[in-house]
Parts: sequence; C-alpha cells; structure tokens
Amino acid sequence: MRSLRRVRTAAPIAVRGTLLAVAAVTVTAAPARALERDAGDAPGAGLTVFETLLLYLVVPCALFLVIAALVVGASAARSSRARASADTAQPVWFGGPEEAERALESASPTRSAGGASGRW
Amino acid sequence: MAAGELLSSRQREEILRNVRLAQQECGLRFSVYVGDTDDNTRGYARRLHGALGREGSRTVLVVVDPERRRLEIVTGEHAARQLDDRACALAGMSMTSSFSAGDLAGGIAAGVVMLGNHARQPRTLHTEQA
Repeated sequence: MRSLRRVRTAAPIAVRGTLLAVAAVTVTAAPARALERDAGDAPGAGLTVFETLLLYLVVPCALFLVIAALVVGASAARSSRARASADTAQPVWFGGPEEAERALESASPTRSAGGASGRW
Repeated sequence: MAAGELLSSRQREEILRNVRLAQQECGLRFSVYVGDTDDNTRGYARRLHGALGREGSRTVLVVVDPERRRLEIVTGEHAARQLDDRACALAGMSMTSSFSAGDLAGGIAAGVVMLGNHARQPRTLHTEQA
C-alpha cells in the first residue's frame, strides 16, 4: 500500500515538473517568435522544405549512423584481433617445470586432485 | 602487446608478482598456465599438474584457456588440505567474472592472491599459553 501511495504522490510531481519545463522553454524562447524586430538584428531567409528536412532529419540520421558504425566497427575489430592472437599465441606457464614440453609428454595426470572448474 | 601474445610483459610481471605474494602468504607453490588445452580441459590440467613432478603435491595449478573459455584449478594432495574445493570454486568464480569482462591478466592476478589468502593457515592458539 505504501508503494502505491508513493506512486500517487509522484505522478502530480512529474506532471508539475513537465509543465514547469515547458513553461521555462517557452518563456526563454519568446524572443525567437518576436513579432517586432530588435534594432540591429538581421534575420536570414527562411528554410525551404528541402533544407529543413536536410538539416533536421538527414544530417542527424547520418551522424547517428556514422557514430554507431564507428562504435560497432571498433569493438568488432578488437574482438576479431583478440581471437586471432589467441589462435596463434604460445602458452605461458608461470612456475612451470624446466623443459615443460618434455615434462608434459612423460607426465601422468595427478590422481585424486582437488580444485575447481569454471567457464565464462 | 605484440601480436600473437596472450599477455603483455607488464601483465606477466604483475601475475608473477602476485604468484610470489600468494606463495609467501601461505607457503604453498602456485603455478599458472595460460594457453591452449584440449577438449578435455580438466584432464589436460591434471596432466599439467602431473608434469610438475614432486613439487606437485604442494602446488596449486591454475589453468586458463582463453580460446575455449575454460578455467581449471588443480590442487595437489598436500595443497588440498590447506585449500579446499569450495575456496577454489569461489576464487574461480571471481576469476571467470573478470575474464568475461575481458580482463584476463587482472582476473588471474586477483584470483591467485585470493587463493593465497584462502590457503593461509590460521595461527593455532595454544590454550596452555593463555
């Protein structure tokens, strides 16, 4: 019940916050819609439909695609490089025996060994 | 890191340092193998452990196969008395979670220290001295 009540009080706060944000944007953006020009301002020509679409739709979409491609491409390249290096890499044995290869060939598996296994 | 190498020289040094640290901490020997194994990773790890010879009994061997994404911890007969399987499993989980985040060297280094901490024998309190 407590969580329900909290939601009920939270909703008006969210509504009020949204209204406040909209009001703030409207007020601060008022000069952009001013009917009378201030002295010295020089508004440019309006945008055509084509320019508007280019500026607000095509360019953002292109930027989105370029950035997404960079992110995906970089991580794909890194993982394929890591896979390639793992394929060819020589094993490393810290604290291993002298002449590890020969020792491994003649070695018999440890019996009754404890420990743990894992995968990731 | 040069092409075709699993660990950079700095990462190797870090692992070696932590191996020594863990050895000093608990008196067991630690050995870390990073590289290719075969399809039976557990069997391969036990063969590696067997290759350690007489030292094997008091050695904890950590085997990491980055290609197959497998981790094996093998404890020798003497080492298993100081380091039980549950402690190994715990350290193993910590290591594999680092590995899955892409941190091979860091996971090994931290895991070895963790094993060393678990294997530390608690100082026996002698009641007659109290």
